[in-house]
Amino acid sequence: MLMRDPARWTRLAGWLLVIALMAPTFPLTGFNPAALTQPDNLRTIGAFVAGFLPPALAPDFLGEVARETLTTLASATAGIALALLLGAPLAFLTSRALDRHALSGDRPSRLLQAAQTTLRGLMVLLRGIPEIVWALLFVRATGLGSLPAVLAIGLAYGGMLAKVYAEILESQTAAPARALHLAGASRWQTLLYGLWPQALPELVSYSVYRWECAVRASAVMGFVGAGGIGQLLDTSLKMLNSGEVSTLLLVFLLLSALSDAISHLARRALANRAGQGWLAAGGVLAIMASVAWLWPGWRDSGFDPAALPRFFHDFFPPALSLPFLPELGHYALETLAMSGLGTALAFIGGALLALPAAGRFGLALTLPCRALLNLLRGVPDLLWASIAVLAVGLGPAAGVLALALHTSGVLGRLFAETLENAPSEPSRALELAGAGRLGVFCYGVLPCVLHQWIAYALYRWENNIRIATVLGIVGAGGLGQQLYLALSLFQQQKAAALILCMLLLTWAVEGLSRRLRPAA
Amino acid sequence: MKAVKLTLAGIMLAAAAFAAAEEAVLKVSAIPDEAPTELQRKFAPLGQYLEKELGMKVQFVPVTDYAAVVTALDSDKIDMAWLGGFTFVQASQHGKVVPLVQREEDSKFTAKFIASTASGAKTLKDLKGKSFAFGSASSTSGHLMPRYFMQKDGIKPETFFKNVAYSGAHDATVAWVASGKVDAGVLNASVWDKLVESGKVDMSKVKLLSTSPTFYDYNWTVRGSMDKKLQQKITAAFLKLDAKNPEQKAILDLQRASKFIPTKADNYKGIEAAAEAAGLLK
Amino acid sequence: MSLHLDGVSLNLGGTPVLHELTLHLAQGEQAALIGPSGAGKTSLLLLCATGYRPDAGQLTVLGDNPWHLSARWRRRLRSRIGMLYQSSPLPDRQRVIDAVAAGRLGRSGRLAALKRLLWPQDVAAVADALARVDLADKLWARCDQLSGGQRQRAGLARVLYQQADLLLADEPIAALDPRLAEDILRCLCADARQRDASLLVSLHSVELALSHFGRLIGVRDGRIVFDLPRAEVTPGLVSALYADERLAEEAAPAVAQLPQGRRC
Repeated sequence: MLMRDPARWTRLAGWLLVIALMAPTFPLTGFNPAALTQPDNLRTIGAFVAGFLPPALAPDFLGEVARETLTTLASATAGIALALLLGAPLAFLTSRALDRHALSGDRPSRLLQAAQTTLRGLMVLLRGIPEIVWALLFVRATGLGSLPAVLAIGLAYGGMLAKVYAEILESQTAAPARALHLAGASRWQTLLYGLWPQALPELVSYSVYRWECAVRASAVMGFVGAGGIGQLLDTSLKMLNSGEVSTLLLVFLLLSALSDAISHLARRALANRAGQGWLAAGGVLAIMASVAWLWPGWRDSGFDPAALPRFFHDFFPPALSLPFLPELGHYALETLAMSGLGTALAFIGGALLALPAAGRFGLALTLPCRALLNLLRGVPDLLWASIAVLAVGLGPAAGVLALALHTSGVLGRLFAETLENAPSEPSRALELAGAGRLGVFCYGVLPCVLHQWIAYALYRWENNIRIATVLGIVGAGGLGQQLYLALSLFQQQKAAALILCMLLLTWAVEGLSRRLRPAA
Repeated sequence: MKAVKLTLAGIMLAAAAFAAAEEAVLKVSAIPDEAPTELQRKFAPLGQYLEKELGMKVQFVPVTDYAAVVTALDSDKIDMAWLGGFTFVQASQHGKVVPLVQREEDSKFTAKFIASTASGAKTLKDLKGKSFAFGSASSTSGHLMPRYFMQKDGIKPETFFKNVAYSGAHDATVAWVASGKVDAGVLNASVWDKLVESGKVDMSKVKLLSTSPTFYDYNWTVRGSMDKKLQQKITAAFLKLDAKNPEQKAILDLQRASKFIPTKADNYKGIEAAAEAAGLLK
Repeated sequence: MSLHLDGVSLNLGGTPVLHELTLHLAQGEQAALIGPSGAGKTSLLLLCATGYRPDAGQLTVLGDNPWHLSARWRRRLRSRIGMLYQSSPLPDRQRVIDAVAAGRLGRSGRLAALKRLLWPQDVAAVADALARVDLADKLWARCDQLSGGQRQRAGLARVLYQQADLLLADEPIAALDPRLAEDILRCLCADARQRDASLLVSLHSVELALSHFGRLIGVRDGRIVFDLPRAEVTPGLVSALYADERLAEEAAPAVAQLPQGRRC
């Protein structure tokens, strides 16, 4: 019999690999948990947080907040409208569910395939660049205001909608579409009569969900000058005006809850015919109202679309020259380390919060922990980063802390859900065999949930690498800081190289995570 | 993409239609080297004065981003702007712009290096390994010239300091240093003096380390496509401002100027060379 | 005395499940519980395993009333009770060695439990327990690589490894083929006899109960109908016990899924 663990070297190597990968992230990001307890930093953050009460309630300020809140909502709505205009045709053209050869088994046409590949490449590019980077670019191209926010949401979400719409169409039962196609229907007719009726609820539901995300995105776009409450927040944060920050934070959380509720209602309305009518009418009205609200600003911005090609032309060729490459590599590594360490810390934080939140330590701890998770999750990463900068100083360490905080909230909720859904028999059996709490957890609970936790964490890491590339915009290091600087100094070619680097890094992490996830 | 183009074209057409309907207006902006509300307050009486002198409507367009002012001036979205030395160089590299006047003080402008008292630093050299804040990346006195002078002293900010950050504006730099968010920073001498005079700096938390050598800074610049006659009228209006006239003294005080003098692009060659040396131009 | 129930009643969710049961099991004694589905066999066994607290009556397990003990001493008592389930509650992704090792969690310290998870300890004893159920080659396998029967044997190996003083088994062979069922029962009885542990097993098959146990306890509707030596259990008693039997249904467990393509 084999008395030694045959997997011992693999396991040991695995642990060593984790240590070897995580250890350098500390010096790379300069993250030092002790910095959180330094009296200087404590005093800074303490003074800042102490100023939260009372929130700023001056009528002038509140008026401005109300105006900018409307702008935020309107930008999100108009942005989604643009994303629809962009995403729906792209999905129509690229969805495999409508392809002649897929429906009837004909030979695919070369031309169509080439065109579709090009369009899919465009979609990947559109959604690959984070929306806040699009916003930053458009702020430079079209000037400040809500227009860049709308364009940024339109492009980034347009790419996303196109992909998901196409996938939704592909996931429907193909029989009706095939029957129509064989009866001689065109691509349009196949869509309208074969797929549209069954796919519609899912399409609308996803679009509404995207709108909800757009509201959150549009609320932070002000950090790069694209209007909305983010802009007020940026100014207040820069001037360390805590009273205003706390008002704006409250407004932000309310806005988040409101969009959540509207999205929930909208999805419920989908269930019946009358609801669908209301939803369609409401959507059109909201888009019209949004454009009407934003219109004066756009008119005065004197935006000239004819200048756009010249603007984007300046980005070529990207500055991939030798002196700049090592610098680029350094910032890429810093960004990667930031996302990795942030996610790893969030894994621990999420697990620690998930246990009480799932009711493992009694009801007295369940509700406060859930509230804490909601707060961590509700405040967006960019905002956490601006606050973290106060707690641990400028640089990538603040980025690590911001990612760790926000992601703890996200993972904590997911972890708590898996805990609630995990089978109780294994742990009950161990309890009855006299195992202590820790033993029950390690031998009865962890084996049931760990693979899901790791999968969630990897999935989140894909998201965090995108966020890590932009946190620098508020001073948290990495590629984002350099991009902001390069665009401020009109060094477009350097900016292009940085964006390229962001894309490559994001894709690399996505690929790696997808490969690791099933193995977890 | 077609949908986007159509939408954009629609917006453009509509914008053009709206623009044509408007009367002659002088659109003025300024680099946001201070909080936006402060900029508006400073400009209001000067705007009224210019309206009277030029006989046309003057509109202030607030902008919260340095680079956006440069872009706006180059693409004729605004007619006149209050630029820093560096933003002027950037603007002149992008297209044709004409500098008209500057404050007498701007020909011998300085920057102030400050540090938090808690940092214990007495000179710039003591700040090795600390965190440091510039103002905006596009600022002359808050970034370019201090960087240039440090470089001459053998200090490369990115390696000399633990962290380098950009606060965005001169008054924000002071707030950052006072709060301990950063250990030290550098800003425009005139903003520093104003904050100190008005008692807005807690001198128990912030102290002055040193003052930089002098350089040319701010000016009022107009877009190159502007009618020459209007340019002359604007220049004349600025030069006419006299500190002996109480009403005009108030305007000059808000601009922190003793008087305005004519300026020319050549005055900023030094800034351009400094930007080149600091690697801040393309 | 290993087990001592005196007038014990149990309600679950407001419904009475066990009615004034009286039952004694001496140290080293072996007995089988038989009766139709829903008779209360599982509840009775869980009650003996200190999984439920009786609503009335006297319960003594291995000399102590578990519900008069502090939590810490109750844990100690529980570590001396081994329970085998109808389907072994082993997490899919756990390795067999860890699943078996978990049997002794009640006796090891916290750190030791963590340590052996990272680097296996006491491998020989675990391997020995597995060898006794003919699973020696699965020591390093993962539980989801085992067949149903192998899984049940791994569960038995955990109980063997625990070396409990009181062994309880709830229909341990219900889902197994006859030969395997026979093997498992024999192994369980032999282990109890060898270590002078007491054994109480609920069985669906009267034949197996009669062939392996000297004492049979018939349970129906939460009451003990008979408690007799093998020789006195007549076919008439048995058919009366199982009159009008109904089958219980089982619900499928829910599984969490990763949301696809959703991110903000």
